[in-house]
Amino acid sequence: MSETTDAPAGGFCSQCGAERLGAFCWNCGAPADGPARETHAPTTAAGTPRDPPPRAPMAPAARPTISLPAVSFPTITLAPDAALPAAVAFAAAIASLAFPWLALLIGLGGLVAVANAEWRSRTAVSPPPTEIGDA
Amino acid sequence: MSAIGKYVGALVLVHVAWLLFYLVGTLVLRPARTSRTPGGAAADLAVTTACGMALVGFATFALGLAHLLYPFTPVGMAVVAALIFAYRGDAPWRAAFWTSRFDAWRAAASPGAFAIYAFALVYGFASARPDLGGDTTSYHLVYAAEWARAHALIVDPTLRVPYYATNWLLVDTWFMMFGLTDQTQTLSWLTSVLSLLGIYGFVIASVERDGRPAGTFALVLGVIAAASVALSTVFLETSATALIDVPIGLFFLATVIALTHALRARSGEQLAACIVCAAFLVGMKSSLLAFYLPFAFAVVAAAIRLGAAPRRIAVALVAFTVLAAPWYVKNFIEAGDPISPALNIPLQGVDPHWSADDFHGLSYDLKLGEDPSPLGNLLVPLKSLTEPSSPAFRADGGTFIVLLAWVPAFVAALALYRRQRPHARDDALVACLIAFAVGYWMSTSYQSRYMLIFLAALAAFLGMLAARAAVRYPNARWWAAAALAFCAIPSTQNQAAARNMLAAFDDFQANYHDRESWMMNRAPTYPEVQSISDALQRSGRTDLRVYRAYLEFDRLYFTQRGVRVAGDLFGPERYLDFQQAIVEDSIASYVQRYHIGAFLFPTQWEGNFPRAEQAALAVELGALGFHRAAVSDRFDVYLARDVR
Repeated sequence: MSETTDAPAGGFCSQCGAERLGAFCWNCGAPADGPARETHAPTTAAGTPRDPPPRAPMAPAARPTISLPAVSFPTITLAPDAALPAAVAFAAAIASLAFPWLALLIGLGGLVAVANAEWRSRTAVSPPPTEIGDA
Repeated sequence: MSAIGKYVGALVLVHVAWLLFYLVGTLVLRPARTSRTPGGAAADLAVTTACGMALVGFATFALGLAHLLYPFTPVGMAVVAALIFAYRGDAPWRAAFWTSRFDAWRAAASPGAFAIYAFALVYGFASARPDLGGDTTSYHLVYAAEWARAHALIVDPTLRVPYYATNWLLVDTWFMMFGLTDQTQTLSWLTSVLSLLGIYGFVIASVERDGRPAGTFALVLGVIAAASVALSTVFLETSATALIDVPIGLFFLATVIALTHALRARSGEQLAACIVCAAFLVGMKSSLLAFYLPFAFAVVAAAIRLGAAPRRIAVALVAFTVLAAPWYVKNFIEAGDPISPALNIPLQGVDPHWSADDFHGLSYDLKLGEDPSPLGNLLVPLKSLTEPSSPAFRADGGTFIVLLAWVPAFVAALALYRRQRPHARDDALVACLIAFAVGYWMSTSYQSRYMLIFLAALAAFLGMLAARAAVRYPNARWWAAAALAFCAIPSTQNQAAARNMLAAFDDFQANYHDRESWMMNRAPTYPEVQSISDALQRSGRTDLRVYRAYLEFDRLYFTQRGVRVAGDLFGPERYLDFQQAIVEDSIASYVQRYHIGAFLFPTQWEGNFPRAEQAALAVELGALGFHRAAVSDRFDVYLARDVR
């Protein structure tokens, strides 16, 4: 699936209280810090339009109070740059069952790669001070 | 005492132990800094208790080396812990010490947590039944019984695996010290409860943000995720025994939870908890040394992510290594191999205890009955549900969650592709650990209970994915719940297993009156063990060993009577060599070598040894001065001349 923003996920919208995923609220379109936007087509820092949210916004008051749960499967579109990695990852995961050493390799190799990536990003930018860092 | 009374007594004892473990665990995870949301608090409760168990285990190892394992030793341990708390400004004689901990427990209380606990109280009834024989009585609990009797970490060279890593049994030792053999099973049950609460809490905490509790739907997902483990009869049956598989699963889960929360909350204390739990896990079983490197890289990656200075990263790595190493260093000194005989046999060709045939025999046994081809491996998760009682799996059944064992590898591979994003790296760390554990299971053995190492963590991980999906796509949250509920479907074989469990419950409740009569009537060879032990003690010959053929399950009962034994499937006193000695009329060498005062073997021994040869053995023993003791028709007992 494609992600519409590189900003870290998490938090709640300061405008409507809904879960904020990425830099913008999926519900009302408000950015992380600032007033609600008129449009639900957030833009990147470069000003180019981002992908629209997957469905139209729904005001909290419009939700029925008592009803059967609305069940609908979201439309998940795989961007071309994500489809291939997903397919490769799926194939690797299934193959890891057929060849247990591959599961061991993905596990151990992955941890080495993550440790390396952490180290590289640490040397690239100064991390904020933390409890363990200051202690 | 009735069965219910016995269970209630065990529950009271184990809950006191739970409280003590929790208090010790707060040396690592201080309650003032733990979560106050229902999910985070439940997860922290599980991790903190696991930390306490680990710290008790580490301390027991050190005390065992110093020959200081005595009934009053826990008092000294409590005083030392209290002094450490006081030094850190959190003295137990202040009210704040207790109120902060009480608040942490109260925060963990939620309807879902109570539902899980109530269900656990029901299946925990099986843990009160005395073990009538199995791996626990043939070697697991024997270590703890030996240490409790000797007040030290002694090594009996006739143990099945004398040079092993046995962290969990260090905790069991304190129960054995007070003669609480069956209660070690209820202690296992406690680890199962903590595992379920840990899964539940982890799933909910994954969608709790900024100290805000998650919605009711997340609580439902947490319960479903816990059910995907709790409805597996492999989990239920193993929880009721003193086998170490469920505790291993708890410590793997606690490592995963603490690692995730360390990254999420940028908490050094959570990283310390991760180190403690991971190190304890590495020392729980010799083959778990394979987890040293993955955990080491995970700890280093997390420490870097937390912004720790290089010196701090080194300290974290050294702390993990030192805490994980004790058994391996001890074994290397005593046997020349940290994981004897796994390195000695391939590299040296010899081992102090095992022969190459023993080693290859066990390796074969671990993968018995399954086609190890790629296609065969691919079908292993499915077969573990459809043919659970086959020689490969040796269980009663499981839940569909095992069919999704490939998901962590998928997430790991995908997250590695996106590893430039910090949050993808967080997911990758946990996913890689679980993927490694799945590979470890399939590489070492297909036995269903060995998959318990990753089952709880897998359930927590899948639950986390489902909870995140439910938050991200609110209108499709029921799909997420349905996908998770798929994991909790028990295989059809569970029905028969569940019926058997209920029948065993009824039998236990109706027929249990006291432990001794229960064991005398139901445990094979238990009357013979008592008779032989009495005879040796009457004669003042407790220095003599008892050789048992094809009866390794009674070792614990002898050890608890202070009688040393010989005879096992593996090792220098192996049964096959004994049979060979009978054929060659050289039993005398056995008597001399092992200083044997009694022999015990099944009367119906035709499967392994012809009746004619049994007669030859009787003649040979008679020539050596042994006389036959009439104890039962099922087993032959021969006592030495001076043992009456």
